Amino acid sequence: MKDHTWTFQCRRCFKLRPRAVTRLRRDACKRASPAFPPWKQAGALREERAVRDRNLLQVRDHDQPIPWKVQFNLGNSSRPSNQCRNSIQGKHLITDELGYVCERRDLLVNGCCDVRVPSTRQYSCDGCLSSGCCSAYEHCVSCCLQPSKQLLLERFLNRAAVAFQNLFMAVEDHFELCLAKCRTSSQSVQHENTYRDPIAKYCYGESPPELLPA
Amino acid sequence: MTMKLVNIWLLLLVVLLCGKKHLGDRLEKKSFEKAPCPGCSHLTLKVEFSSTVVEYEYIVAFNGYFTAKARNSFISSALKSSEIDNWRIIPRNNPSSDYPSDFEVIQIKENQKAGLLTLEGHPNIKRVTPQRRVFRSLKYAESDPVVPCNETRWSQKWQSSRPLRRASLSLGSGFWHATGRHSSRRLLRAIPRQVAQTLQADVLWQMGYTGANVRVAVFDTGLSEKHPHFKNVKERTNWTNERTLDDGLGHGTFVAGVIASMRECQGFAPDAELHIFRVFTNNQVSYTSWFLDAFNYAILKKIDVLNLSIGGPDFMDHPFVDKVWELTANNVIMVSAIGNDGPLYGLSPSYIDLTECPYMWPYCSQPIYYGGMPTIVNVTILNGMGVTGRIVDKPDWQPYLPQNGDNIEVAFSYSSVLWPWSGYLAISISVTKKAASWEGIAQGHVMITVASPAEVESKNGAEQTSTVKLPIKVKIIPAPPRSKRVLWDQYHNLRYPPGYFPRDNLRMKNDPLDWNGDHIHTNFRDMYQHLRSMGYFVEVLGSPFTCFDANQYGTLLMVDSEEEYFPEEVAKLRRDVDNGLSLIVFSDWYNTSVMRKVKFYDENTRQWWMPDTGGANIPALNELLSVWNMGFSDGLYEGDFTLANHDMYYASGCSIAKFPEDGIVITQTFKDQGLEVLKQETAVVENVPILGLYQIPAEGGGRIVLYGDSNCLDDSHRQKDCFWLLDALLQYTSYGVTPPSLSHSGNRQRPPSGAGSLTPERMEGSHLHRYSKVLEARLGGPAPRALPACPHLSWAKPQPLNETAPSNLWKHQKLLSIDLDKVVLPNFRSNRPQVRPLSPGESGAWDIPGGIMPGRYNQEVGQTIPVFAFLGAMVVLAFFVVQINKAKSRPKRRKPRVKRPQLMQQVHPPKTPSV
Repeated sequence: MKDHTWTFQCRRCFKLRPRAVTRLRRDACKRASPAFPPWKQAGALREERAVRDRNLLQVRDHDQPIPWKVQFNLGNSSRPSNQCRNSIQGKHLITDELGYVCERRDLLVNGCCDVRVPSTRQYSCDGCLSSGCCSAYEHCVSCCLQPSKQLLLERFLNRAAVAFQNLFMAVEDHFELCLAKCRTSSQSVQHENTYRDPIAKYCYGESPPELLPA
Repeated sequence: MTMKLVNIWLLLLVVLLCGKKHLGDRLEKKSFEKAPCPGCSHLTLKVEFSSTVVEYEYIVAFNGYFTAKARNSFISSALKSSEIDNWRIIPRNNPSSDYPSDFEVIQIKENQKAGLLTLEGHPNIKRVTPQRRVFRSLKYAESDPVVPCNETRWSQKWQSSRPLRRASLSLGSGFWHATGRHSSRRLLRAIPRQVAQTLQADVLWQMGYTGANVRVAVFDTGLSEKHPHFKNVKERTNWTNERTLDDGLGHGTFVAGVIASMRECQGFAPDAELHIFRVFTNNQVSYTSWFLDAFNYAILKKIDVLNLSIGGPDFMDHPFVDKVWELTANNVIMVSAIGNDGPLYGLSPSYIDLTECPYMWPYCSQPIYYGGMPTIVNVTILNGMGVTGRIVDKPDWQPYLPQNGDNIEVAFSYSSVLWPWSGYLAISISVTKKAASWEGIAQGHVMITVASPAEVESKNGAEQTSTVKLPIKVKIIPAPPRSKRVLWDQYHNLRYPPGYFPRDNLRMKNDPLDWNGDHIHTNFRDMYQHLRSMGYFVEVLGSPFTCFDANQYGTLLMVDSEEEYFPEEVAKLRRDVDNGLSLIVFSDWYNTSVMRKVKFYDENTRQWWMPDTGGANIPALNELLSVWNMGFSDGLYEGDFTLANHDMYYASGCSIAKFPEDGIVITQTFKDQGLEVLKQETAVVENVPILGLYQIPAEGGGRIVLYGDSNCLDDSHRQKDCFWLLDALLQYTSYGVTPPSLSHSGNRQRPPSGAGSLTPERMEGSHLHRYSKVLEARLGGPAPRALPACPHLSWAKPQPLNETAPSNLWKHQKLLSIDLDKVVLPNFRSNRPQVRPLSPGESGAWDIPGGIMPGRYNQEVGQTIPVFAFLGAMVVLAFFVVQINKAKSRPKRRKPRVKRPQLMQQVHPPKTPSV
């Protein structure tokens, strides 16, 4: 035991199961080109192209900004019906695409918050810090939906790290962008397994949560 | 060192299969299946037979099934008539020997021809044929194991009160409820069968559930773009730092193949839309942060089923765990591996039978008794009614009076809100005082009602409810005598700290962290099993020393403790030992210079990690032991030795620095491992005191034993166990019998006075207080907190039932939502997809038969099945675990540990909660 330098590269990493895997011989077969029925041809080709684009994206130069295509359609006009998309996941709260936050029990059948309930609030930034990080996901989304946040979001998109290309390339409008932006991500953690800020960890802003001393 | 464990056992697997049904969709896909795959090489299995006649041996076949006695009498009466004496029946010792049989193997050494003729003339004998010896050989011709098929193997290795009955995922015939439909014999080991066929996915395919329109994400090592086995790869994304989307390992390809392979070995859901997420590098490395970003993308893409065939030990990784909840709340069905080992679990029962091994290990390994630490079972409630739900009122405890249910008490704690789709129910079970000397089985059940917001709300506030009954069955024995009861101190073993707590054995450089929690059900399991086999009852103390009644226990066992001690604990333990409690301490090393040396650079977090204790917390232990004039040193020793004719290994242990003069102390000669670590020098030290035995001189006083190394009790990295030593020490502590092999050992030396050897000080700057239940940060350095209150359980008010418990707690678990017996499957046999094992000698040329596309059957079956959107996917999950920690406290422990299968009961409306 001469060398006592401890090297341990994978402190908390995950392990594949099952671990014993055999190496595969790849591309042993050539894939026959799929025969799409005529009426599906166009759609299928478009899909193929999309897949190819996606693959190309992976090897793209990192310095280029994300060619995002978010439509900041605000207001009701763009919605096809009186249905609302909403944030779905909350234990207690829900935010709808109009920026209203409400208690789960105040959610209407159409997916919108009941605006007649006094506790329902639009564009609520409760629990959000000036850094753009909030203690509740639903308030982060609601706050992010404020029309005035559009500039901030555009600036973020132009500078977003390469790790977020997949995500923000796929986002189509302001609501989806806020849903995606407020989630905890690689930016939210230190040492992989702890939050940088265990309280205000949902951020619509440009900077990651403030790193708190342990 | 310690950490809390988590039994990351089990797994469970997965299937998915769901789909919205579109006839047109299926027609159009048919064209794929004809696509030839020229030039593919294939796995061919060749089975070759040869056989030879065995001399003198014959198989006598009867025209019916007869007992061994009857068979014997038939044969002997037949042979007697030909006057043949030199014959015998060749015994067949197998499990079927006890049952009637229709043949016998005999050996005839004389006059065989005549013998055979008379035998064949016997009215009960059908025929007689020579015994043959068969040789079978398997050969794989050209191995190209793309998407290898699973071989089905199953064997029962455990004792169980209910052997062989449970439907297992890999038990073909038990999978459906043994309808007999699939009861044909199969040569399981010889021919690899396809996993989808083994699990009878073809039945679902015929019903239209082929995965069409279901988005399945595979989080793995990626998939090559042109892999010929997949036709529906929608998207591939890479989340690693390697710039490729391809699978350089094979794991991701395999997993994707199990799900949706179209060729060779078919997957379960060949029509599923695959989304390949490459989150592992070719070196099998991944990080939480990669997962977080990939998971977010999966949510955005509205993935239906997400497969994660991975595992990791870090259940305290909150960002990861929170994200899993978030996925679930967003209607992503996450299917995760739970381990590669263990027997074939997968489905858990919907009852708590603490007598059933192995499913209820470790509960089943020790009956409960009055005065013991309560047994805690953690149950996960899966609520399919909605992402949120609640338990209405409280859970009810209903003991069956005829089954002595009133001999146990039950207490509950549970989630206030069931979210996402699930919650926990912790059930503490204890024996009532009136059953203190009773022995028998007690039964009852718990009733819970779960309410969730109605799915289609006509008005706000409408709820749907569902009620679940959870049977409970326990074995009770009279409380064992004090001397038989051992208390394992868990409270002072740090559970799973996020800090750096190095290994006890410093030679294990590749695995420097202590992960397992030092619990009798994890890495001290072998020791626990040994103590049980020696007749001891082992309980776990999960609270401070101030919270147990020392009169109940013979010995308190402290192994590898890293925690500090409250001043009240030190005082209480001293009184307890004066009053007859004995103490056994297995310590470990603590040397601040070595601790500084074993810091390491963590490339993951890009920082240096400095240990927060040594192998054990010797400064704290020394404070605890100081009243008896005992203490451990800061020495670090290693070496092989012999003690009482047993081979032993001392793996990075310390020595005893100080021991009372009238005690017994054993010494050994070791290498100074501290010197080796610090200066790479080798030195041998003689007379290192490693074991001390001491009797408290006061009337009725207990005994104390110290040993300097815990590695010989620890399952992880143990080289030689010292369970024999523990037996001898327990004889001493519990019964006062001093083992002569120790008291008269040639290695017995004068106890060290403490002069000349150093006892370690706590390391400057240690962050132990961050992970400690005892210390807190204060100005001027960490100091003990206020002593916490001892845990208190409030027992549920029983609602006794004067009825008899069902004789079978268990009902067959259905894996699928559909009762096959009720489903009409026209032309079942003829329509089976032609997924079949290759026959012996069959060449590898594989065309994709028309039948491989499940969709085509819908044309015929379609009429019988309602055509509507079926959204759910299914699967399974399951099970549990257990970890009993019979101590009441530990709020964290209430995390749900028991996952149970939640199966859709009907096609629609599908969701009810289950436990």
